Amino acid sequence: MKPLGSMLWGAAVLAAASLSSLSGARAQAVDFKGETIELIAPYTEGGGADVYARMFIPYLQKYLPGNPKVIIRNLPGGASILGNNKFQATAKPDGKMLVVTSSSTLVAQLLGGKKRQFDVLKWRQVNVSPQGTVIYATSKTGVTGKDMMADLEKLRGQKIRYGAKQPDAGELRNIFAFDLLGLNHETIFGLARGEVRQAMLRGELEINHDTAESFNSSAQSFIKSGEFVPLWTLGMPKGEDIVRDPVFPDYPTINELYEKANGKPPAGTEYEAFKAFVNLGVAASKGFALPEGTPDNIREAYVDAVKKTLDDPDFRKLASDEVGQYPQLFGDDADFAIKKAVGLSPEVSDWLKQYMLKKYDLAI
Amino acid sequence: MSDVIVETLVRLLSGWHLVYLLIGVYVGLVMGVLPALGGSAGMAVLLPFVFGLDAELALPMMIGMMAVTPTADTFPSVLMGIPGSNSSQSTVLDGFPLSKRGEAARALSAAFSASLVGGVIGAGFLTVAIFFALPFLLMIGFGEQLMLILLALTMVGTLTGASPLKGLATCGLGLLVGTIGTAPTTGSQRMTFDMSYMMDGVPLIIVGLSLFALPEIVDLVRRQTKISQTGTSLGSGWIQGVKDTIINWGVVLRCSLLGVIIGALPGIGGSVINWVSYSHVVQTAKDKSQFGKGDIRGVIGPESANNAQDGGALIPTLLFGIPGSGSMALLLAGFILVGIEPGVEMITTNLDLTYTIIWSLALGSVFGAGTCVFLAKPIARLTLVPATIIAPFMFSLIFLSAFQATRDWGDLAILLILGILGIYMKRFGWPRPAFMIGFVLSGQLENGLYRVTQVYGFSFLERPVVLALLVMLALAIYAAFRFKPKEEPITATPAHSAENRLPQLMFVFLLIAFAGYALVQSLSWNFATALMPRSVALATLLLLVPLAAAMVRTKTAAHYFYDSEREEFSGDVEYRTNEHYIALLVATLIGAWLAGFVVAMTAFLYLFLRRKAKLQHWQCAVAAACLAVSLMALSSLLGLRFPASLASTFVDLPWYLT
Repeated sequence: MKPLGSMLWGAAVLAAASLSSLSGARAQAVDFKGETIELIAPYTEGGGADVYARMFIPYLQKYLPGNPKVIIRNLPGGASILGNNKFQATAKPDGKMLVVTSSSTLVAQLLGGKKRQFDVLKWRQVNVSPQGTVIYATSKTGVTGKDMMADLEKLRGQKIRYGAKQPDAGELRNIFAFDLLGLNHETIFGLARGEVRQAMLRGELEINHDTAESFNSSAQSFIKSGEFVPLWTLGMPKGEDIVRDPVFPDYPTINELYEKANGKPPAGTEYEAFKAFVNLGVAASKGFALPEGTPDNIREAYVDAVKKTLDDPDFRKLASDEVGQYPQLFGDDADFAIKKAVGLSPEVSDWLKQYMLKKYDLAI
Repeated sequence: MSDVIVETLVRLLSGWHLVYLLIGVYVGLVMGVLPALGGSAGMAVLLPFVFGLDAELALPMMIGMMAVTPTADTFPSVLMGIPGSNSSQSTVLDGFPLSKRGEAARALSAAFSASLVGGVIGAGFLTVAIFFALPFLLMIGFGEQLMLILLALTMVGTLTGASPLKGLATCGLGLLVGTIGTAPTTGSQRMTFDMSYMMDGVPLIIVGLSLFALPEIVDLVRRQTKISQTGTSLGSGWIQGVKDTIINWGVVLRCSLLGVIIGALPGIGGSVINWVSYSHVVQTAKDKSQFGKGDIRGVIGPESANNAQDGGALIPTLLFGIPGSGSMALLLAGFILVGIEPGVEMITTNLDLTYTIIWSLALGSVFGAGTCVFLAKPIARLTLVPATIIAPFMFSLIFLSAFQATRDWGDLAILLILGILGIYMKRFGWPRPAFMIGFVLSGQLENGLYRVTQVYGFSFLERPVVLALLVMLALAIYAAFRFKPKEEPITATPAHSAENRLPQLMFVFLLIAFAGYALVQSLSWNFATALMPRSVALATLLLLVPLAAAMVRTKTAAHYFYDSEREEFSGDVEYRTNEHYIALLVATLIGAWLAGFVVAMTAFLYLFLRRKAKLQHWQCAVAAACLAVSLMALSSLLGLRFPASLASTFVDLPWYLT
């Protein structure tokens, strides 16, 4: 009897245990059936991050558990600060509101000052999609794209002009790159990328950058016709290194060029700042985030849906330029990428403050 | 090439292509009719359907939508004095007075037929110009852009109203308000009072709504029983409007070309086009006496220009991937989604797509304008509804529209502040169009000056196109002086009298205080940040101070005195002051802040209809319910949320009531 009794007892315990774990799993299962999920885009309709977000919507509706309705809400203003502040203030950790993050969000995190009332580092990132940066110059500068040292010498021998929106923006990553390379450069502010391209064709500016996506869609035709010459990419952060951009493996990185020109790899505070901006402009270019305190199971549901979206052949075709062949990061890895971009050491942070103050008379 | 043209047309007119084109056209019409929901909102509505669609179906839909929004937005501009979008702000100037004269149907059908012709001219221009435009566009560098902006600025000469001094000072104030926000060249904040909302400056759509729509509607409920003063009939009707367009074919042609060219040129921007074409019409007209009071040419000009503009703006969009406007930016996003990559290929290997775009533009304009002409007469009946009934709806529409700018409380606050400014500018005869010209050109002017000094220095004067434009500039300034509108005799209206001038003196001193404040503020900014606001503030003060001095000293009637309160008020309408209505609007806004937008608007409508229109309780209730339902439907269809109220921070309210 005894063995049987203890066996029964054991079976009962086991059953109870498995039942409880089952009900535990049920409590953790996320279901958005009948819900409306708000996707905050802190930008005007039609910008890069807005289009990125819009492309995901039909697939998020398909792959999130319970097939919720996902609506996008554009809250533009203040270089994304307004919308992000509102997200921080209103989003609850229930998975019913998420935000699309971009380099502007991260720049605002670094340089937003008092106006920034949000903290990206506390958000729970669902994913980040990297996006390479290509730098190209007009053929009028004499560059050929064939010999990187000769091209660098050519550019160092003249004044080169670059166009950017404003000093406190993601374009700083290229300005830092020009600094590292010791170019005699000047930036004309108040210009959008398309305007810069047009001004280059007119011979008023010499150098420009584009993200991989707009490089392919808008600069390519002038590269074919020989007006623009692609030179370098900012590369792709990998661990503590920066390696060649997987989409443009033929173009050297700034790091390679620096090493070849100076005989040693770049280092120092200035380089750390450059690296942070490569992280925020390239590695963490776009992505989705949930508010602080969102439980793991909800984030997992989102990570899962985004992964499925990225594997969907229709989506791949649609987003061939936006997502490209770049390695996508999810969950904790995405959080880490954000931290690398904006979690500056006090030393680098001070250096950045001084740089903005000295060079652009901007107090942060 | 010609077979491609015919082929694409035949394809477009057959089967699903036409269906998609018409879907685009009707979405565009609905979006256009609702003020502030223009091309951008329409494109945002269409984008989900563009996913995975074949380019040959997606293009007609997107272009069809874009082609008709500047047509449909004429309805609110003409009938209610509410600018339907940034591109039809100047239509209000003569369109609304025409409605008030009981000629709404005529004004509308003139506008639509002009839009139709403009759209077709734009498409025709695009057909030819896209092959030759590249070298010409590349001739317009930063120096040329600056000259063009200056040329546009001289247009203000025709919009100064009775007192040139007052007009120029107003333009200066517009320029000054345009500098509020982040300085484009340095990233520093100017007059933002440390509020993040102010970083992007004052949204253009709100300036239009507050300077034109709010003052006009307040004036309407104060003075008239109906929008149409003639009362019961719609006057000469829509055939007259079409005739007007035909008679003024020269205006249509010139303004269409103006629209197309400015649309294609870099660095000037689409929102300037309607103002430049309006000034052009005024400048070239022999008899200028009726402008601002209901001259049909003031409607025909801007409406043909703003429809033609798409044809021009598509050139840089297709060739360089440079969006000329907000809706073009979304169109570009749509292009990417259907796999079209802008570039020179658009006129070589992808020529058929370019022609699909051109034909969609032309056919869209025809279908859109045709539908609108058909609707003009029934919709014009709105002008026969008592003003006290229609006004509260118009106020709600304005609030809703303003809130579309950035969907922030700041939108509504700015609307009210500038609305109050607009009401007094109207009362004291400060020309609001001159303010608009200054405002729309402010950012461009500053950017232009900065780029020229950075890139060229004075060497920009060695460029041949710059020199040619310089000559044109000199001619334009000469013309502004030479062909000044004839001064009205002062005795014609009691408004110019020198008696009881304290209110207008107070207003001038307030303006001086504002310009002075800007000047003092600018002293603490660095050179590049301060240069533009400091120069503009100084110039404005140099105009305002002598004006104020003259107003203090002069004891007889003069052009610079103006107070519309001295004009006769109709005995049919209960007399209420401007301040009464300002207080009403402020109270509504505070209500919205406390209890939520929908609740406050509904309550406002109910009380307004009850107290002002003296309707029965049940009638007020039905109207209020209709408004509430349509607000909620609109917000759920377009995914827009109303500003969060104080109540919603305490109670968990459903999203449409926050």
